Amino acid sequence: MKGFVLLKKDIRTVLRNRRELLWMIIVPLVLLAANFYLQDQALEVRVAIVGDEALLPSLEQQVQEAEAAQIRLVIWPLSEAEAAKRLEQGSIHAYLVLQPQVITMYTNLAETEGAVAQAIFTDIVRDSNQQLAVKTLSELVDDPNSVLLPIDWQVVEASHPVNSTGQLIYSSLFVIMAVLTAMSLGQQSVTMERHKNTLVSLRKSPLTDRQIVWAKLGAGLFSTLLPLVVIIALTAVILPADFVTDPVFYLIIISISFNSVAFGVFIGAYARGSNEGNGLRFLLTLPAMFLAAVPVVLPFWLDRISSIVPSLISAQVVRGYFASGYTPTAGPIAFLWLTGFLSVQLAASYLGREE
Amino acid sequence: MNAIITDSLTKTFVSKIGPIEAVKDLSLMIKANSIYGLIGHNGAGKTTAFMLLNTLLEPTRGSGWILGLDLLKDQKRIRQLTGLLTENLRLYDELTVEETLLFFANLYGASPNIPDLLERFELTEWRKQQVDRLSTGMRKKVAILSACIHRPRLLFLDEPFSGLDPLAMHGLRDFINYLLEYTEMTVIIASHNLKELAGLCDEVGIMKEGQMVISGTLTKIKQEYGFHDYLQLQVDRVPTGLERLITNLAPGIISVANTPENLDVVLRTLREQNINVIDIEKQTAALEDIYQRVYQEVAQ
Repeated sequence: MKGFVLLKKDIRTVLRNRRELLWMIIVPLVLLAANFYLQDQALEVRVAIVGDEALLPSLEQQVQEAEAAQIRLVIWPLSEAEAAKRLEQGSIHAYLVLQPQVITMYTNLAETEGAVAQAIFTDIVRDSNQQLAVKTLSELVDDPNSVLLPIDWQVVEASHPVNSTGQLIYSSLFVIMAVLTAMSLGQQSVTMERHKNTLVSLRKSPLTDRQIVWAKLGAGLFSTLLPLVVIIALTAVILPADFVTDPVFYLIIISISFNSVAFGVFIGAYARGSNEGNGLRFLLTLPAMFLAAVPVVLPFWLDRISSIVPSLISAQVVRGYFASGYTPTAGPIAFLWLTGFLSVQLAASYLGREE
Repeated sequence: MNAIITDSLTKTFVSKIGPIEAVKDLSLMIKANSIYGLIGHNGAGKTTAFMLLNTLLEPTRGSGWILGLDLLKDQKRIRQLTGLLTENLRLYDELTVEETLLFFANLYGASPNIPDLLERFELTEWRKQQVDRLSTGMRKKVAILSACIHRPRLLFLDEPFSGLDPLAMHGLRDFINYLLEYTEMTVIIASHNLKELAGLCDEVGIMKEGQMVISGTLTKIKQEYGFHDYLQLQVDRVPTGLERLITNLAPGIISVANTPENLDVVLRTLREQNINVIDIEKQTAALEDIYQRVYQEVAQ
């Protein structure tokens, strides 16, 4: 139980460092507000509807219900020929051919800005399997001649509603907090002990290296989750945040926080200096940050790599949850816990390595 | 009884430029309840030796016994019985003096009378003060107290005098003497402050490039290297015929090596020549001189 003595000391240190704690809450909130403000700048998307007009009212209703939707939709019921003509002229951004279970979107990617295309995905057909749509979109983008080709996606039931706020704001926010910050805190908890020379005192005490590492992990999790709870509570008050009552969300957050702190602790134990540690951490976290905010389909080789890099998996799980309404399968979550435990074991073996 | 016995203790690190022997064939015997000073340039192997003796590094070869326990087999017990103050230990800035001591005591499962300790070391007034607000001397005191809060039988202090003003240094010296007198601790000090070490230590060892060049009492080392204490005499006239034995330092001041044979000859001559001695001052051979000599000889 000696590890708890260290954990208690670390938690006391975190709580006493009120300025740092405050900044950890303020900075994400400022980012959140700035992101929200930028997204609030109304974007007019002109979309034509072709097909079964009986589906139209529900579509309009969906858009209106999306309280955080910052896209002003202008929808016309047109014939397919007229819609295609207007699309070619550039007077509309896209047209949708509506059928009961399949929606086909036609858009001119050469003319349509990324934000508009994204808005069409996220706000027009929210309860859809976006991964398929994004994949098709990227294939079109890769081939500049393939404009005006149809993008099909199946209408599927998502586990929870998604919207652009979730996609653009929450996914970035939680990746920042539960991956970037968590990893940094995990790394610092060991690096600081080394820097202050107190690591030798700890290793000299009856504590085992494993106990030290687990205590550091516990303290890192505490300092990650404490500001997160405050941020979640505050965002729930000012923004539509259905996820607050969803247990899956907490499972995701705890899983990725555990994994990231564990990786951070491992980096702290492995790196010989803070510069090496920071370099390793940036290498792992910056792509995750990028993935969280930008809807991209990675090239094959990068996709293979990303499928085994925990921080990228974390970002994809968060993004999948907020942008596409996916409940993550047991696979990625189990992988995150497994690699987290592995990181702790490795950290314990590297903690006292001889230099 | 010996607190430390080592036999050819060696530590080799693997590096890009090849193996580096940080400690080479260290054979030591340090008496219990004594103060031992370890001297050497930076990189001489003092800190590595401390790490080895605290079981924080595994020796590449050799053996050792700390307080009768096998260095290679009884690591857990040894760690419990030793205390270590590392060089530049910065402690935890956010914790108060009291919390710091309590933290280290709890790590070792010790329950010392902290208010009493604070009182004894004049820290009561600062007990609620965060460590980062203390002076360097105070911090050092807290760091040393932290290292020995579990009442170890063997205490290692790595550069305890660095950054201290003369007053704080005096306080630290008293503190170490107190540890020795009342707790029957054995204290090993690695330091560059040779003057302090000479005043404190029963024995000293000089390390160079990982090897112990010489170890023993200051007197023994002085004899081995031909160093003597000197007597500085203020006389009303400079004697004649003693040119071989005395050095004229200034008009009326002579210096003579403090050996019984020398003194006998000089005092007899002074008496015969009717010379009055006005004042006598003993000049002890400085550890610094011996240290320099040792390093020069090894270099040659």
